Amino acid sequence: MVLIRSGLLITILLGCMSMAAAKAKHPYDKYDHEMHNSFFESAEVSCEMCHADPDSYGNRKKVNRLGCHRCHNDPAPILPANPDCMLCHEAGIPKPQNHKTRWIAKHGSISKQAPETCKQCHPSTMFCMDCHKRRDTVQERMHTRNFRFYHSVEARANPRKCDSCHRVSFCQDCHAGKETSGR
Amino acid sequence: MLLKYFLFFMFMLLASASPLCASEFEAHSTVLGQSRESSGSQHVLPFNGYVGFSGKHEKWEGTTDMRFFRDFPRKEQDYDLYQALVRFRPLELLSMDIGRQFVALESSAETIDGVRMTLFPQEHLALDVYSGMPRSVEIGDFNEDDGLLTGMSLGLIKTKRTRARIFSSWRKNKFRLNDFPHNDEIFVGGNLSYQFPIKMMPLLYGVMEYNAAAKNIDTATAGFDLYPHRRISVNAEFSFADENSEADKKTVFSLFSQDAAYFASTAVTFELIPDYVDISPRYSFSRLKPSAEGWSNGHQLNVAVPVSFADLGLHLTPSYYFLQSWGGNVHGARLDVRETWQKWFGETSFDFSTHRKVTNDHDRSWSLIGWVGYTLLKEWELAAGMEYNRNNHFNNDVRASFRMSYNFGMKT
Ligand code: HEC
Ligand code: HEC
Ligand code: HEC
Ligand code: HEC
Ligand code: HEC
Ligand code: HEC
Ligand code: HEC
Repeated sequence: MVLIRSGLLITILLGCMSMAAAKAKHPYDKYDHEMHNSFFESAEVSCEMCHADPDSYGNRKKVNRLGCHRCHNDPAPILPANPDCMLCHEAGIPKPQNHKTRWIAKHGSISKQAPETCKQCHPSTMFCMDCHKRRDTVQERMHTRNFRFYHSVEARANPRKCDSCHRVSFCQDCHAGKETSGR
Repeated sequence: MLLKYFLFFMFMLLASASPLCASEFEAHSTVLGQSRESSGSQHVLPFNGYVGFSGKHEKWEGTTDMRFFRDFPRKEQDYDLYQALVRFRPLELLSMDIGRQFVALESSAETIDGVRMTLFPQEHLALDVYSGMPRSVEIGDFNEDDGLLTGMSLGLIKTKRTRARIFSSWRKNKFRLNDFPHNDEIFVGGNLSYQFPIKMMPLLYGVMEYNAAAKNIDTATAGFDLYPHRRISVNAEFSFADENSEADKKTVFSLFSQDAAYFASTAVTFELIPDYVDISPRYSFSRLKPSAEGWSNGHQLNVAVPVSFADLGLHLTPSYYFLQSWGGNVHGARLDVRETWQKWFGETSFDFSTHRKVTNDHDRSWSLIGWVGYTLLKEWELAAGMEYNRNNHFNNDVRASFRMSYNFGMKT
């Protein structure tokens, strides 16, 4: 109880320090084309890198979306420039391309190759543990409520998946009536 | 037990002192509570309190996350320590992580109590060496039978198209038992991916893990991503798994498979109406041998159609799912809705599924969940929820929940 109280106290103290919200902008709204033209000239960047589509001079939607990343977010930039993601992504960093399909099933393989790349957008490993390790029955998270009633079917279709997070004793305890997941 | 409290107090101390000296400090806490009936029809009030801190000062960084559980009517309490980690980076080339930490560098994603050292011998290389006792909150803390996991992994970093890593690890399942190889797993493996700099940006990836103690291939996976059009992404993956059947360690896989198993999956995401409507079907097939009697196939299908009206703050995701294995089959339909309006947000989900199981249970489940929340200040959020869950065989429950969360400088 002492622990909970001291935790709460610290939390309340911190509550006094708050920050104001800022309005988010599209990256292009922060773009100073004139200033950049001088960089493009010195680094011999052609206009076509971003304006491959002739309509793009009048319509920002047709500009190469990832042109900015060539200098601002690239392991081998044409010209090194400010790599702070928040410089352009005030509203939050968008989902990367690899997240679009079957990400939940394949992120294990991808993260094992390059674990440091995840930190860029998921700086806290609690993000991972939220699904992998956190015990909580109050909120739906890793499994839906209905899952409890059909987990036997999924376990028999893909038992390997369960091993990513569960030990057999977890299954056995509950089947034996010692429900440890009541919390 | 003692060690657990020692670790905990160390980190509370560190955490409470850190706002004063740390150059960067983050904290978050959440309290979640629920009123419901337990499976024994008893009224229960579980509370989960989460606290996390992290602070950085020069070469030092500390992070901790924990959970307190209390159920008042049952007078039960519990405590989980998810991470308690000090990172020390004495040199640009070396970083050390000491304490309870989540590692996902080889065959599994584990929490270990131990040490991890990362060396950067060269701009594009990272060498990781780690050793510790794997921990599982599911079976309680500090069980001496948790074994020991020691590993090494060498990977490419900051590269553009190629990702590669080779690793080896040695796992003793019981800490003291000397019963090689039943008690031991020695993995060697590699992981490789390459994104071709051509039109459809194909990305090929593969993983291979060999168990040298049992002399069998534990996992082999190969897959690709493809972007044939700005609005279409495709993934396909094939995978093979075989575990050492002699091992003492029981896994869910070893309970349901007497031989190797084969998996194939594919998924596509189409942006039907850019920025508004996507459709993403996903299918996987599995083939395994549950008993000496023969092989059996599994199928899993999921089709989701996320719709978003970003200007209105409205996101809707209807989906259909289907599962089939020798354990039975499941058809389900689900709708998730999220609306954010100024400082308010609301979330609801409706889920309906029917199941036909080999045990001759033909049951149906419904679940309706709703949450409404309000952001007081930028970091304070209050929310209240209601749930109605029903299964025509097993349960029927109504729950009321609340959540209060607080975030100081934390990015997720
Ligand atoms: C890094 C990508 C990039 C490069 C390279 C680039 N542009 Fe642009 N350009 C943009 C973007 C983004 C806009 C849209 C800005 C907006 O909508 O506010 C734009 C808009 C324009 C416009 C429309 C008027 C304006 O300024 O909004 C003209 C004209 C233009 N660019 C000319 C050029 C020329 C000439 C070059 C070669 C020297 C060039 N651009 C190179 C990204 C680029
Ligand atoms: C050819 C390389 C290059 C490209 C492409 C490029 N930039 Fe830059 N950008 C620079 C350099 C160099 C600077 C000045 C140095 C710095 O501040 O990092 C800069 C500065 C900036 C700044 C001010 C940074 C600050 O710290 O205040 C912003 C904002 C910016 N760029 C936005 C963009 C956007 C948006 C795009 C894409 C439309 C873009 N840049 C594309 C090279 C580039
Ligand atoms: C100089 C501006 C700038 C900076 C700095 C920047 N980005 Fe971007 N980024 C953009 C623009 C512009 C887009 C395209 C946005 C759009 O289409 O709406 C984009 C898109 C993305 C996407 C979506 C990619 C896709 O294929 O859909 C990701 C992911 C992303 N950025 C990550 C990052 C990360 C991570 C960082 C920091 C390391 C970063 N960005 C820094 C300008 C920037
Ligand atoms: C939304 C929940 C969720 C989150 C968040 C999540 N994971 Fe996972 N993870 C899963 C699931 C589900 C699987 C099993 C996938 C499968 O086999 O189909 C998995 C599997 C894995 C595996 C493979 C484990 C094995 O035994 O082979 C690794 C490694 C992994 N995740 C790492 C991570 C890391 C690192 C993070 C944080 C950056 C993370 N995960 C965040 C749900 C999650
Ligand atoms: C450029 C930023 C970026 C990078 C890099 C990134 N992610 Fe993500 N990730 C996101 C965003 C944005 C989301 C969507 C979060 C949401 O929906 O709330 C997300 C979602 C996820 C989810 C699903 C969470 C859920 O609740 O369904 C998982 C799992 C995940 N990421 C794992 C990883 C792993 C593992 C890596 C490293 C291989 C990684 N991510 C790298 C931005 C990123
Ligand atoms: C990404 C990690 C992850 C994977 C993969 C996973 N689970 Fe879970 N599972 C959890 C977590 C975390 C909980 C704890 C939630 C709680 O406290 O009840 C849980 C809880 C459960 C529960 C208890 C649910 C309840 O209603 O109390 C069952 C049953 C279960 N899992 C079965 C499975 C089966 C079967 C599989 C394989 C098909 C599986 N899980 C795969 C993380 C996972
Ligand atoms: C929250 C308690 C709980 C947990 C945890 C749990 N189960 Fe179950 N399990 C049940 C209940 C209740 C049933 C009976 C209802 C049914 O058939 O769906 C069941 C039934 C099963 C069946 C079907 C029984 C049969 O003989 O046909 C299988 C298979 C199964 N569970 C596998 C698992 C696996 C694997 C895990 C661990 C990953 C697990 N369960 C974890 C509660 C649990």
